[in-house]
Amino acid sequence: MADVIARGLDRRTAVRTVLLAVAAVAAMLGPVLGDRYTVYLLTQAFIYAALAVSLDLVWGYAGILDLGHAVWFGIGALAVGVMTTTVGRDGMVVAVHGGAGTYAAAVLLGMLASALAAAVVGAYCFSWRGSTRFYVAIVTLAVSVVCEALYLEQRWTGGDNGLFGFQLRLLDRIAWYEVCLALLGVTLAVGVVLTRSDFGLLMRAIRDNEARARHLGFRVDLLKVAILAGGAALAALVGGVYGAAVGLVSSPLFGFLFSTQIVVWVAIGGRGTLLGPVLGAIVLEFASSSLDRSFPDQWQLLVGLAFVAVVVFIPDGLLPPLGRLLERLLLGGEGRRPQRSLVPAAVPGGTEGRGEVVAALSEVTFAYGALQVLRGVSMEVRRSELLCLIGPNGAGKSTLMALIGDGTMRHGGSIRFQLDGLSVHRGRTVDHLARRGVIRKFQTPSLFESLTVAETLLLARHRGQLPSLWRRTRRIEVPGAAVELCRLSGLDRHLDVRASALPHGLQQALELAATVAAWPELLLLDEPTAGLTAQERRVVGEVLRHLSREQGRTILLIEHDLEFVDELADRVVVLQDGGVLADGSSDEIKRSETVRRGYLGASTPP
Amino acid sequence: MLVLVVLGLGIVLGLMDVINLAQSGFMAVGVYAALTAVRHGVEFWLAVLIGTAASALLGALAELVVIRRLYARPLDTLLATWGISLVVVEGIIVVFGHGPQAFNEPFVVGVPVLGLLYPAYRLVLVAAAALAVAVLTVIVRFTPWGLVARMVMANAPLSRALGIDVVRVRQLTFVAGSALAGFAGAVLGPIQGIDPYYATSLVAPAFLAVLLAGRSLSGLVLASVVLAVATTVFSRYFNPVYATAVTVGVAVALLRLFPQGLTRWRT
Repeated sequence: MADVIARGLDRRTAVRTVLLAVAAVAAMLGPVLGDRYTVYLLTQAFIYAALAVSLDLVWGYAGILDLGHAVWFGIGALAVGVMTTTVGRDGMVVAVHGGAGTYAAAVLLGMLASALAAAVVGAYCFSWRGSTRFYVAIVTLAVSVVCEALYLEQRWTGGDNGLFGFQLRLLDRIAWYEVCLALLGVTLAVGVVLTRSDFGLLMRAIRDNEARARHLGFRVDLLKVAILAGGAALAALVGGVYGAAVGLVSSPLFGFLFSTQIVVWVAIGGRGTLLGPVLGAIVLEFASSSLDRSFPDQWQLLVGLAFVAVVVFIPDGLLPPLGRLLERLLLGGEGRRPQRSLVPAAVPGGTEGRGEVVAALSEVTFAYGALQVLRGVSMEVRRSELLCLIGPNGAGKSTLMALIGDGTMRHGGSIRFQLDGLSVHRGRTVDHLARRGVIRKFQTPSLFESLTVAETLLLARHRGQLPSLWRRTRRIEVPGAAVELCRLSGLDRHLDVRASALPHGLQQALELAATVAAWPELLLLDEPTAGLTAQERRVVGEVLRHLSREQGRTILLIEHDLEFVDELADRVVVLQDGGVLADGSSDEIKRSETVRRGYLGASTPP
Repeated sequence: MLVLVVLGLGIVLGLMDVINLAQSGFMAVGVYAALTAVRHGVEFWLAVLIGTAASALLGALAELVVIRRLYARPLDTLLATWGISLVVVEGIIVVFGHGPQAFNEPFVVGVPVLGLLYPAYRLVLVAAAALAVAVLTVIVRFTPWGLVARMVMANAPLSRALGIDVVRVRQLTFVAGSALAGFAGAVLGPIQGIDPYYATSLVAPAFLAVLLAGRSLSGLVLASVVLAVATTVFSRYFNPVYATAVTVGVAVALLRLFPQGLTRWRT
């Protein structure tokens, strides 16, 4: 078995290397084989391909639909144009100056300006709680339209004519061809390293499920601003090289139509893959430039139709299905080598300070509009205890839990923490609380669809710390309890399976394991055993008991299964109609007359 | 004037939760169809009807082939409708060429209004917009169709369980939106320059107006009026390009202050 897998690996790597080498050699031979016009077209296509990669990182990987990506590219080209030309009174270029140094400085400046502009747009879009994915799409679209219009009105940009004639003449066209090919290579290399790194996982995680990323402590808004700015800087680099190579910048480079084109390349090629957009840009650009002469308009119509068809029928683009086909043909469906493994990590944990108050709630009230859900809940959560929250539907259990995990929900009364470095609750965001150790598991599994089991645990383990931008962790250190959960639930046999492909029970187990891997001080669990079999429940119960009693984690658990509660809980709080009905050990609760009348029903045996 | 553009978008977004970037394409189809009809000697208002019908037909086709498959993927709908508008624009180029076109009939007869000379046709447009708003309000608020459309919007699975043909309702809504776009495109034709990119410039402001409007027709009217007035006012002080830029900026900012739309305060 093992040697079959090893051979599979060898062949896979070999095939990949050979294909890449062939492509690289073919590309380098371009100027030898092709005529003048072909070389020119390919040079341009390489630039566009690099640009497509920069959009793909932002949109395909991080899920930020940037409909104004052309603007960032345009800023890069404009920076070079402005620094190397002098514009006369009539808006025409009168002189071109500057050596290689000026060009390099201009490119850097352009990248900086572009990143800054994108950061401003991003900060504006993402800093707002109600922001949806549409908002950033519409705002970037508006930015693109406005920039294109404004460009025409300025004298320093050359207005209608744009700036032109400033290509760097040190290099001839063959040299520019090689430079642009190298640019594409560098962009791709950046893309490969970034997307395969631990940070690449975080980008996909944000794309898949922002809320979950926040609940694991990641500063999602800031990260999205950074990703957009990074993509913009990369686009500006490409734009700068374009400016230096072609020596032309004008308003359409900023515009809506060019932005559209970039999106089309990425969508048809395959968003979320790196080669897809490259092939999309090169093939479409090359084909359109050659066909444009014979059937100019029909060709564009065809591209538009292809775009719609791809979006509707193959949203992942053309590369993934083609890749799978190629894989079948070349590798005959041999298995992949296991990608990642788990190893137990040493984590802080002991039972010192057991029984100290960790969270104190006093007279907490909360209303959804006119519906009063919590009417003054006072309770304490103590260190290293397993506290069960029970009560009928609508009693306010989930709301209470949501409130503890999110200090920005408007509520009455007070919640105080006494955790390391965390005392204030009010106003603290979900990710802030999560970084300080308050981690929540939702009632229905909330996971990162495209991340594998191991990748999910890796991110959870970071708990809001920035993952490495280049390193790819294969041996993932997670707390022993999380490893145990994976072993007992069978998740360890599916470490390289995507979360979306797991059955419901394993998804529940994975989210639980992820919250445990984050090594919370206060773990908030909303029905962690819902939809599990009796056997699975027992496993979960054992792990949770061990976590609280032996390892000093504090657990607040919502549960409906009273038998489970009885076995597990150190203490039980009964909620009813938004207030605390009873608070005590599970025996006390069972004996309590109020609880029996109010909740359990008289027929339940004591 | 913006009201007309916005209405079609508004019902599609408001009643279907679909951001329709193809709206400008449908407007272009409306105006080109009307243009063709007029060139064949058809009376202008009849031609407008033909334009409306043409984009309704196209809307039905687009819904059938594309939109219907994307209800679960809203962001992809945005891309797909964008793609549709590209296709429509390129299609128009193939048939009619790149050049600008114009209606031959003169629409510049002035009428005195409150002592000012105002082009009669613009008054007609205002009346048409008011009429369209009134008719739509009545349909959406007071007829069974409006009720059903709102039901589907509020909770599609439940409506399906109640025996409503959700697919059909959405189809009709989308077609109605497209028809309105065609109508708007056709009647605005005489006062706008007509070329294949017709109405593309209107899309950004129209969108912002729709988003600003939230889900109510009165909001829609309010938002378009606010934006139209803003553009006009700013045009006095800056040149038109800056005015558009400033308006878009204002709209983007307003949108953030009133994410639910102008007629509803943030809770």
